[in-house]
Amino acid sequence: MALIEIENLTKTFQMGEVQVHALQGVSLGIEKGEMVAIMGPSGSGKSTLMNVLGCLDQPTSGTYWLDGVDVGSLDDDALARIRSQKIGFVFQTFNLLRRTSALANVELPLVYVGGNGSRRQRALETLSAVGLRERANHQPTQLSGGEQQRVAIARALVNNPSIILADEPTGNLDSKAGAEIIGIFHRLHRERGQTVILVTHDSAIAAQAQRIIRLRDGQIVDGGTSGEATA
Amino acid sequence: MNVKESLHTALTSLSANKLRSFLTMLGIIIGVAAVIAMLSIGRGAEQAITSQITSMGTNLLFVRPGSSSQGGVRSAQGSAGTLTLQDAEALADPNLAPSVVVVAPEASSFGQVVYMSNNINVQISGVTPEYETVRNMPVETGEFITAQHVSARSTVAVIGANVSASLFEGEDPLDKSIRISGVNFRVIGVLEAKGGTGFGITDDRILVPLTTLQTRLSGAARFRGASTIQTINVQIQSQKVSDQAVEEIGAILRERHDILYEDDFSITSQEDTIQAATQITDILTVFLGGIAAISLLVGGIGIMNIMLVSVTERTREIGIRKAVGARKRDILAQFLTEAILLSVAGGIGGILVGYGISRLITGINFGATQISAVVSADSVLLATIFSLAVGLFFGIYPAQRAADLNPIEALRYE
Repeated sequence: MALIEIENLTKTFQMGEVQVHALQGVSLGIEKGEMVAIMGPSGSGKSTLMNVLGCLDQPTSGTYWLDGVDVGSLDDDALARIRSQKIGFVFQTFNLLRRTSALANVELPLVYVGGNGSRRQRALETLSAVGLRERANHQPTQLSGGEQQRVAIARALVNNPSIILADEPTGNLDSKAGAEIIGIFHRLHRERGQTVILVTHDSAIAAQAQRIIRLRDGQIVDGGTSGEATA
Repeated sequence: MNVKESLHTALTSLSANKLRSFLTMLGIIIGVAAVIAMLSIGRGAEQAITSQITSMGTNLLFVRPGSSSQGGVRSAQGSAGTLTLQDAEALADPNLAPSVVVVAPEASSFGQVVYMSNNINVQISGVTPEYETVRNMPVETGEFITAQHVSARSTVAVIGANVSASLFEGEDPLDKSIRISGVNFRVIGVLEAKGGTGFGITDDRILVPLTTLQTRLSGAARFRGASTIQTINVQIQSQKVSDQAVEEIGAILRERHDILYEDDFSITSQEDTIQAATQITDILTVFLGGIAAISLLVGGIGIMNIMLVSVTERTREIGIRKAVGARKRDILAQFLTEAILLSVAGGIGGILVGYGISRLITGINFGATQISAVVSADSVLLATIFSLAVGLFFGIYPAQRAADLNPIEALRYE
């Protein structure tokens, strides 16, 4: 069984009077250790799909198996545990805590898993992995966009999750900083064997992934099954 | 997330908004300080009054005439004029009234007192030597009225501290002659100052022998051929035998007055007076404490208000925390801890301020009475528990709101 397996997934939002069908029967499988890019015009359901994949949101119908667990049957606390242990999120807008040091931001996910006292050490090591050890005590406002995104990546990595979900991580960065960030994702994928799912508008970035999933109007038009499966 | 973690997070975010946190706490500080100060002042007042009442002697019963009734019209209590000196002597019988220790009869009237060019109008009480011990009225200088004075109907007087001050203005009053209602009296003693203001405790009085008052001063009313008296002060063995003493006294007087149905006298105990006074101060304390509690309530609403603002302001932060794995209860704990921290810190501040206020009050003299406001352990405990409860009660709704936020919407919040 694949790490991620979703079948006939739909998600409908009620926006005032109008029903928005953000996802309309999406089926998808992603293997452990894959690096996948998701592309599609805005409004095609990319972010909704990412939210469901990241267990921030529950689908309206359909099934989602993550590492053999039926996510649809889980309650809020169990979803929080999955987010804490198996998933690392990287957002377009970084979403770091204001007035909080880079180190404390990276430490944040460790607070919610509880346990050992070596948190600071682990956060420092993870910051080093993205090349920001010297900036550990800087606050987000004292860091450049690229540095902030690297802090966010360190935060996503600190619990050593099996999946990294990045929703347009280079959307707010210049091309040089963006290239650095993408480089980090490739390195993580290569060195740690982590599964990386990456939403992007940049076809050059997407082309570097092992597979491109294309979405349109809430449906997958290309790349829904993994290369190995179709081969 | 454990308690230490919640505390750390709460402290960090509270110290990020120091002024706001302080202003929020101020509501609780004022509320708790008011409660503490009011309770301690109430308790201090109660102690002051109780000690004043007990200063007129201990284990006392007061026997007074009942109300007279003529043609169905009832007069005031004590107007009957049915008690005589013989009644008082009968109460001293150790066989009939074993609970009674000492009996001190007392009759009074008001009179004009003149010394040289000064004159005042004060209460003149006719008493016996027992009065000194029963009513706890030692003389400051000179001597008290003796048995010889009583039997000889001597024209001697013991004067209160205020009388001494206003008549003699610093002169030594001993052996001076004063005129009371036209009769010359020799001053033989001055009473110690009581500093009292009520409950029959006063320094504005003159004591003369009971027999002298009855024969020389007032055209005293007579009952069954004897001069009447207004009060019989009875000292009993202890407060425990109070009921028994009332029975004994009642039996003796009923027998002497041939009473079958309705008593023509009444017996009140010092304890009754203390209870009545305590009841008044208790009501006062509850009333003042209640008003103070309202300000604590307002402080609590302030906490709730600020916490709601804080939750809205930090919606994005909540979204981030949830995205990286915070459970509902983690968010709930975080915001609840903040609210409780605010209210408990405010409570501790309030206790200190309240303590300061009651110390200040203790320094003030209210006329002759000084209230020593006492901050008791139970009022501190009450204030602490109350402020904790306020934090919990007013913190739970904002915290619940924060915990229930949808992570995606929270992350999108601008």
